[in-house]
Amino acid sequence: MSSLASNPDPIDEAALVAGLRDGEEAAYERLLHAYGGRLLHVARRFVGEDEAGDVLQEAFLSAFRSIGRFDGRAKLSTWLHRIVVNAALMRLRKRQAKAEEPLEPLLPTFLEDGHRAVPGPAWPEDPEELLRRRETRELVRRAIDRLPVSYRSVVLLRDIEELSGAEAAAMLGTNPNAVKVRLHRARQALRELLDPELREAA
Amino acid sequence: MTCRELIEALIDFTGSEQPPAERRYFEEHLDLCPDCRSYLASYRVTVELGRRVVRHPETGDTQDLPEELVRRILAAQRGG
Repeated sequence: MSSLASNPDPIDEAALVAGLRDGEEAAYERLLHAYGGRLLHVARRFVGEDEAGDVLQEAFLSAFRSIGRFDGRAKLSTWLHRIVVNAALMRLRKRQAKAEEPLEPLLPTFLEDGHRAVPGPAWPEDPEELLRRRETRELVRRAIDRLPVSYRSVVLLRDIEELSGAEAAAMLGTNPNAVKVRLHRARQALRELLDPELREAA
Repeated sequence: MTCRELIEALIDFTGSEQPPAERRYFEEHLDLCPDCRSYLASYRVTVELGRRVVRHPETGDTQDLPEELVRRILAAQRGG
């Protein structure tokens, strides 16, 4: 399920798709108004404010071109969501010209007997409490941005956009098991980045 | 099960993919290990915070695409 699952304005999807297939500009415009705002947010999550508009433009032009291949099995909103996510991933990959920083320094380390090497104080267990603090939001956003692109992409696809493991793997050109491993490592790294600020003593 | 193995087993955090036997060792370890309990709790909170913060920006999830962008995309479509 994507975040677009519940569109508050029911639109006549069949009529809209027919208009799109006929290349009617009014249909293009209707599509943009119906779904564009939410999809702009999706693009922002991946590439940030500055490039979100470009990603959205690429995605919609691609959707207009390929509407003939929309078979109605998925909802139109879901189909568009995947196109936007794909365009955003392509943009991220292009940006990632140089080699990624290794993730290892952000993973927990263990003693020979299997205990965590540096156990720390617990966090508050209630996310609500943390979310009431304004700085938490900024903190979480910055931590996600600090993840290497290949890990950030997996967190965004699985935890945020809620794609299935198989779907995420297809988009990333890998297999579901690799996605699973990467997601777990990314979550551990995120936890590590947040830890100094969120441990109870802080 | 060691702490290291428990943290590795969190790879199946969202699913019920852990076989029941392993699940039992997992629970037994958690009962005895406050450090793993707090790690598991913070792992859960991490996932939840990511979801909540990124999906629901406090700026409000405006549904409208800026008109300027609508015009730009339509113009690009005509031009292409």
